[in-house]
Amino acid sequence: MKKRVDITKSVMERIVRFEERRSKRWLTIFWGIAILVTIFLGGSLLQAYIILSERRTWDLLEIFYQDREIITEFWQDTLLMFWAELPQNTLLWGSGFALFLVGYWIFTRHQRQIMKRRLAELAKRKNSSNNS
Amino acid sequence: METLSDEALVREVKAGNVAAFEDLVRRYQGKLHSFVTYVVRDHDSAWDVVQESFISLYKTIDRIDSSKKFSSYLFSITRNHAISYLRNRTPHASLNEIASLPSSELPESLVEQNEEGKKIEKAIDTIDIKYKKVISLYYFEDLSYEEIGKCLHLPVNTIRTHLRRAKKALRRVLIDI
Repeated sequence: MKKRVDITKSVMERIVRFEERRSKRWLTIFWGIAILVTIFLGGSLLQAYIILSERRTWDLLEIFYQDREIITEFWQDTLLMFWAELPQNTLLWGSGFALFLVGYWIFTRHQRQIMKRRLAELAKRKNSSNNS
Repeated sequence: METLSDEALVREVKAGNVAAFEDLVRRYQGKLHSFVTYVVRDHDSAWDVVQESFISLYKTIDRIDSSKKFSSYLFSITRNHAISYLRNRTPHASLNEIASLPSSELPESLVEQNEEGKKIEKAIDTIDIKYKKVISLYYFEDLSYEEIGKCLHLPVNTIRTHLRRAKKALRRVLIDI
């Protein structure tokens, strides 16, 4: 009688190994980019904060702790002055990084869902093969 | 899952359902094996080719055009693998192996082959160096066209041309010897 061969198991074992490597690589690159851009964003914001502290720009905002009449009279001038004091180049970079992060998060949403499903399946397969 | 169409299963795999691929393997392994056995004429090697084809399919599944029939795509991948298998199979006797065997242990026919081999080696020494490299890698090292191409940083078609010219040159030299 002809021997019946089934290569499903061996194919799937290789697929699982390949998929594990591929998913890990994708996640490493994904998180690497996300963390790097977050660091740049944090750096820009920190730099902006330091510049504002050095210029003592924050002190301008103390007007809002004053009496209501003073606030009513000077709030517009104060805000205009505060705006003029902002380190715009640094904040522009920061906004760029923030926009990139948001876009990156939105554009990779579908792929992240696929990865999540794949990884859950791989874990399930691993568990069932360990149990058996 | 068994009742889903091929295209639906492919969509499932693309969406991250690895188990759907298992159904595709179960569904097509027998058909592909029959097809490959017909091409490579070897039952066991056919299973290897089928397995490699499935792995390739999985790796490229995201690029599958869902408007085209899945089975045609799968069969074309498998046919390419079967052709590469036939191309990479090593039907040549390694002249180095023959040359290294003590002639007392060789049957008469092999001794003759050994002498032939020495003649061929001598002839190889006389041909152009670029052809010599290709012919040595192909016949002595048993490398495939692709592997030689990678080794020498040349396209596969150039390797093929070099090998053809090398054989022509060798033929001329051997006639003279």
